Amino acid sequence: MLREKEVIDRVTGVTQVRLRAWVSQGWVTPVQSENEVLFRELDVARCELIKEIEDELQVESETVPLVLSLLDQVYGLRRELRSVMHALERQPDSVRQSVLKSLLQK
Amino acid sequence: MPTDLYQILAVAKTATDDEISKAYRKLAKQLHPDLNPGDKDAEERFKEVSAAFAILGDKDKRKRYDNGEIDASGAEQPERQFYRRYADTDAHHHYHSTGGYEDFVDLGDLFAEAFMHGRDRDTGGQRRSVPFPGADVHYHLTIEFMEAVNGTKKRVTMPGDVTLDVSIPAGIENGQVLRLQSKGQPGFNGGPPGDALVAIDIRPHPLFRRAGNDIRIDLPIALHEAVLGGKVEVPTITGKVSMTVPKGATTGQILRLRGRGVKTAKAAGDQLVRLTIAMPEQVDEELEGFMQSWAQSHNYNPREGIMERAV
Repeated sequence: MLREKEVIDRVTGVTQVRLRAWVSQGWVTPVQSENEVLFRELDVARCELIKEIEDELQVESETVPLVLSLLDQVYGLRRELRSVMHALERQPDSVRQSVLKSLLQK
Repeated sequence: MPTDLYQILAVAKTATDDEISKAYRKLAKQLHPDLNPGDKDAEERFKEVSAAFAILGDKDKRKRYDNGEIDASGAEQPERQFYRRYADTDAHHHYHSTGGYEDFVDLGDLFAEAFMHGRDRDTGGQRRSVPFPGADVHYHLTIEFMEAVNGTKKRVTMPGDVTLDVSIPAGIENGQVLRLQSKGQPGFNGGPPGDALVAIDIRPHPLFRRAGNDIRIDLPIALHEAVLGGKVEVPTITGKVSMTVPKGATTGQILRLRGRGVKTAKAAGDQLVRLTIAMPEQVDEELEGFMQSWAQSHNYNPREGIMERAV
């Protein structure tokens, strides 16, 4: 896991003030260790994304939480959909066929 | 892959720096891989677009590109890891929001519970073992007009063999929805059950009509009752009452029976009786003779001025 300073070094264009603002707004949720916060690779990639949304796509910061919330929902739903697909995968062929039929009827 | 960077950004070679930035932003918003998880094509195009912008978006590099000093391959960018890679594979679902299908519970307990239990197992996901109220269940119930105006209690069996005791308050309106608390689907994780929502359809009555708390009815009276006045019996929603028709009553005239409308907990309406004069089944010689002689000396015109108003 990365310390705050390492994240700032790695994600160009991100200052300490900016990073802390993201954390305090809940856009990024690092892990709180004993005396500092630590960032996972996931958090760093998310910082990169937020920076791009703000700087390159020039989305206003008021709109950023909306974008993040929709994205989190999309990824959450993708995960659930995938788990449903995996569950179906493990079913006998007859079950899969009847589910498929039911889906196509819709 | 077109090697003309201007083509990739869909701008003219003469485009200003500002136009180039704008074109890039527009494409990037559409194609950013993290905004298009699972779309391989978007990722490829995004890479092209950002590579093109890396050169054309930089005054110095753009000049060198225009002069042929560097080619499009100079725009190759280092491999980078997009957020979606982590978001899609992260075992703990730190940022995943699973609030998006709370309304799935009406698809059936089996799958709803599978999702809810899935949440329990998560360590980092957002809504873990939150008590979760059961879904509301919607029903339709058709009742008679008289039951609606006077109120009643009904025990009804709904689809799915659910027996409900429904207490219909006097004066319920058509389409009104009654909420029966805790009669819906059971909750999850110790959450409260949902409610049963019963939408009321009122069958129309052949005589009575509702207008808020007032009841309207058309009442035929005989020719002589209209001329002479007198007492007639009128049906109301609580039984028949005696009403005085004034002398010279006419069709369309409305008489008010105060307090004979719908009585709710808060207010009581009236019954509004609209008179219609009904001729006898047959006009006999006596009536005809009388009318002839009466008309000769008492001619009146109820249509006076109607032609002027018809413009």
